[in-house]
Amino acid sequence: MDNLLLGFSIIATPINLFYCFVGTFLGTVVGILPGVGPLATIAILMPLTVNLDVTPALSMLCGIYYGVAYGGTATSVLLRIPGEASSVVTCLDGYMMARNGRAGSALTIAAVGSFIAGTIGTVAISYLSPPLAKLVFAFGPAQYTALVLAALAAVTYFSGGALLKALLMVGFGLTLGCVGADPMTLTPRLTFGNLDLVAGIDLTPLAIGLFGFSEILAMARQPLSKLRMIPTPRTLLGFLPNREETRRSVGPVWRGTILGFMVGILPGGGAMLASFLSYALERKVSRRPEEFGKGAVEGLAGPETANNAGSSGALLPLLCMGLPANAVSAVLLTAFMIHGVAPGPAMMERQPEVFWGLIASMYVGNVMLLLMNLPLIGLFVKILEVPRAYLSPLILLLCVIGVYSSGEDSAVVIAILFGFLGYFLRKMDFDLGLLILAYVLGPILERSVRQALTISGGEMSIFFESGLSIGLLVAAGAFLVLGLLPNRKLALRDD
Amino acid sequence: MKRRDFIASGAAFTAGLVAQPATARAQAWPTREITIIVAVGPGSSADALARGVARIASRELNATVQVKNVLGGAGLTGFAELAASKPDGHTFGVVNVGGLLVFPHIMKVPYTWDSFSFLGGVAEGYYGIGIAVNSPIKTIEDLIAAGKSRRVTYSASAIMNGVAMIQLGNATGAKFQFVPASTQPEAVAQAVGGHVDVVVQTPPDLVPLIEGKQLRLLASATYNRWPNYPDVKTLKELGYDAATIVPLGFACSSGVPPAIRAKLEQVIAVAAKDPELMATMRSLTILPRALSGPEFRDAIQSQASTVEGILVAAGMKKT
Amino acid sequence: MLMRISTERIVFLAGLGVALLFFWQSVGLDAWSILGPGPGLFPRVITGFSSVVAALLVAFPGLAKNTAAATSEPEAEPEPGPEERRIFRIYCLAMPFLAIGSAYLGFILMSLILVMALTWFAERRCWRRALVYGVLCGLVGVIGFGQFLGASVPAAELDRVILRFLH
Repeated sequence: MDNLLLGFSIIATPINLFYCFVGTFLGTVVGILPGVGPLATIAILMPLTVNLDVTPALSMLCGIYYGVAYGGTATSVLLRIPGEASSVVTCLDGYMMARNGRAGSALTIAAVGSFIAGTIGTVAISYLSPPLAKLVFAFGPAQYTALVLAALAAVTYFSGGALLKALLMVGFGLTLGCVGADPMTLTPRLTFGNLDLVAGIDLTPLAIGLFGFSEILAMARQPLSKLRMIPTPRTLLGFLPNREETRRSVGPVWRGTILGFMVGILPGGGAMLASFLSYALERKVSRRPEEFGKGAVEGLAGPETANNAGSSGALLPLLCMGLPANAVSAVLLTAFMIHGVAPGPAMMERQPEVFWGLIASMYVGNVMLLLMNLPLIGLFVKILEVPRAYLSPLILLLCVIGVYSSGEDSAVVIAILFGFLGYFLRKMDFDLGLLILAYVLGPILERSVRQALTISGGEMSIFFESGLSIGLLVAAGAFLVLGLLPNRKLALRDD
Repeated sequence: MKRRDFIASGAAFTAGLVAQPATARAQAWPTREITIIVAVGPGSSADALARGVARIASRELNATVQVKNVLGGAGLTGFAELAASKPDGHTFGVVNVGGLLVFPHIMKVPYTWDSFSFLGGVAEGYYGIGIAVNSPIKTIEDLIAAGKSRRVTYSASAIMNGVAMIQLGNATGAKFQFVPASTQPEAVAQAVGGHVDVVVQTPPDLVPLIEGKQLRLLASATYNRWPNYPDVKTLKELGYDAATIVPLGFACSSGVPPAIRAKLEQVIAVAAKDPELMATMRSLTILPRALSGPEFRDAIQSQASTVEGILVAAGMKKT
Repeated sequence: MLMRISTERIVFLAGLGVALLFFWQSVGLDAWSILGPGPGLFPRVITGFSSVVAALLVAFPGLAKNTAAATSEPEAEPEPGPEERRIFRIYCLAMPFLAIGSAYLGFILMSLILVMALTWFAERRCWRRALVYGVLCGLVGVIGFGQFLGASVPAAELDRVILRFLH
C-alpha cells in the first residue's frame, strides 16, 4: 500500500498527469481510426520521448497501449468494422445492439466494463504479480498445444450451431492461417504459386472483409424501409443503459475480467482469445442463448471487458519478467530499455518509483479514459443517423484505409474477396467468429506442435508428460464429445 | 523545457512521421521523403537503430526521413522491396545476415548480392547462452557433457542465433538440437520453464530474467564479453572457437548514382559515431561497431560458409 | 424445403472443393524435415480434416440442422424488389472497383467515383451534394489520414499534387 501511495505521489504532478492524459487520448484516437495502429504509434513516439523523464515517458506510451482497447469498440459497435483484432466479437452482438437502437447503451456498458477490467487488472498487477508470472513459464510447447486445442474445442462447442458446420469453419480458419511462407523454414505454402500470398493473409483484411465489407453488401440488399434503425433515445442521458441491461451486464463483466486477465497473461492469444472465450462462456451460462447474435447484452459486456482485462494481463509478464506477451508490449519493452529501465523483479527493487509510478498512472489513466469516453458516446451514436446513401461509401473508404496500411493493393483484393465470402457464409448461417479465431490460433497451434515434437525427437508422449497439458487435452476431448451429443440442455432452457 | 519536448513530439506525430519539412529545395537530392525499409517489426533492436539513424539522417540531409516496417515472409518481403526500390537515393534499408545468407539457400529470392550497395555498418549484436537457474547444468563443460549423452535442446528466435551452438557442437561432438521460437520472449520463457535446456538470445531478451534470478548467463556467444556481466567469459575464452556474429548495417539498391551513395555512406558513418545513437545502443546493449560500406559487406560475407554449413546440416538448404 | 437442402448441399460441395484444392496444395510439401515436423505436416492434417468434414456435410446435409436453436431460424428474408436488386448489384460492382481504384486511381479520385456511384447513381441522391461529399471524403482521407496520422493511403498523381500544395 505504501508503495502504491509512493506511486500516486509521483504521478500527481501536472506534467506527469498531462503525459498520462496525452497517452490515453492518443490510445483512444488510435483505437477508433482504422489504418493507425498502436504498434506504429508507439514506435514513432518512442525516440521522441528520449529526452523526457522516465515516468512521464513510460506512462504516456503505456497509456496508448491500454487506451486502444477503449477506442476499438466504437467502430465495431457502430459500423461493424473491427478496429482491433480484440473487438471482432463486438461486431456480433455489439453491432446488433446498435441496430436495435441501443448503441449508446452498448458503448456505455463497454466503457464501464473496460474501466472495471482495467482497474481490477491493475490491482492484480500490483499485488498478484509474482505468483501469476510463474504461470508463463509453466506453458511450454506441449502445454500450448493442449491450451489451443481446448480453446478451439470450447468455442466450437459453445458456438451453439451445428457441430459439423462449426468444425468446417474451424478447419477453414486453420487453413487460412497456414497460407504464406512457413515461419520456420520459409517454404511457401498453399499459395497456388501466387507471390502476393507468400506474405500470408493478414488479419486486418480478413476481419474487415468478413465483417465490414460483408455488412455493406447485406445492407445494400435490404429495402430502405426495413433498414431504418430504431433511433437512440434523444434525452440527455439517453445513452445510459436501462436497468435491465445494467443487471444483465454485471455477471459478464466480472467473469470477463477474471477470464480475460488470466488468458491475457499467456503470450500469443492475448486479448483476442480472451474476448472469444468470454463470448463462448456467456452464451453457455446465459438463460437466453437464442438472443446471442441478435443483440444480447451479455455478448457485448463479457468480451468487451475481457479484452481490456486481457491487455492489462499482457502487461504483467512484461513488468514482472521482462517478457512481452504480444507485439505491442514488445515495443514497450524496447521503450523501457531505452529509458534505462529493465522490467522485471529488479525494477521493483531498484527503481520502485518507476514501477509504482507507472502502476499509479494506469489507475489514473483508466479513470481518464472513462471520463473521456462517456461524453463521446453521445457524439458517436449520431453517426447512425446518417442515411445509408452517405454512410456506406464512408464505411467502404474507412475499410480501404484500414486494409491498405496492412499490405497495400493486394490486401484490398483479399479483403474484397472475403467480403463476398463473408456475405454468403453469413447467409448460410456459418459462424464467422470461429473462422477468425481459428485463423489466429492456427499458427500458434502449429508452432507448438512442431516445437514439442522437435524437443521430443518425434515422440508423441511429450503431450502427456505434464498434468497441465493432460488436463487441457481431456477438456478439449470432453467438449468435442459433448458437442456430438444432442444438445438437450440448451433445448430445455428455452421453456 | 518538458513542455517544449512535448510540443516537439506532438508536432512530429501530427506531421505523420519523424518529419522535418525540407527547406532547402534547391538541391537535386533529396527531392522527397527518404524511406528506411526495416524488414522486422517495431520494437526490435534493428528497428530502434533504424529510427535513431532516421533522426540523424533527417538532420544531416535536411529532409524528411521515415522508417517503414515491411513485414511478411519472415523478412523476405522487406528485402525484396529494398532490392526493387527506385534507385534514386530515396530508399535505403537495414540489411542483415538472414536476408543475404539464409534466404537465398532456402527459397527463390528476387535479389542477389549485386542488387545492393552497402552503405556501412553501425552495430553488432551481442549474443549469450542462458540457462534456467535451477538446471543441474552449471558450466559450459556440463553442457557439452550432457550433449554427449543425450540431445540437448536450445531455443532461439532466429536460426542465426545458434551459430555458436552449432560450432560448439561440431568442435566437441556434442549434440545440440535447435528448437525454433517465433519471438524472443517465447525462446526465453521456454528455457526458464525448463522446456528446453538453454536459450541463445541478445541482452535485451535475457537481462530482465537474469536480473530476476530466473536465468543464468552461461557464456557470451560473441567474441566480446557482455558489458553488463563482465565476469562471464566468452566461448572463445573458455577454449572453443565458436561465436555468433551478426553485424547490423544499411544498404541501398545498387543502381543509386555514386554521388548520392557517397552522401548516404557519409550519413551512416556520422550516425555510427553519433553520441545519442551510441547512448541508445548502450541502453539496448548493442555493440557499436562502425564499418564502412565495403567493410560491412565483407563482415557479412565472411559468415557465408558457416551459415551455409548450418543450413545444410539442418536440412533447410534447397537451392 | 427440398429446395433449401439442395442449395445447402451445393454450398457444402463448394466447401469440399476448396478444402480439396488446399489439400492438393499441401501434398507437395515435406511432412518431415531433419529439424522435426516439416512445413507440410500441419497443412496436410488440417486440409484433410476440412475435406472430411465437408464430405460428411455433403453426404448428410441433415447434420447441419441446428438442433438447439431451432427457434432462432432466421426469419424468412423478404424477396428483394427490383430496386433493391439494382442497388445490390451496383454495390457488388463497387467492391472490385475499390481494388482497382486503390491500385491505380489514388484515393481522391476513387472516393469521388465511389460516392458518385453509390450516393448518386445507386441511391438516387442529389448529384451536387454527392460530388461535394466525394471530394470531401477524398481530401479527409489523403490529408487527414495520410498526412497527419501517417496511415498509408492509396496515392496517385492527383493526391501527390494536392499534398504538394500543403507545403
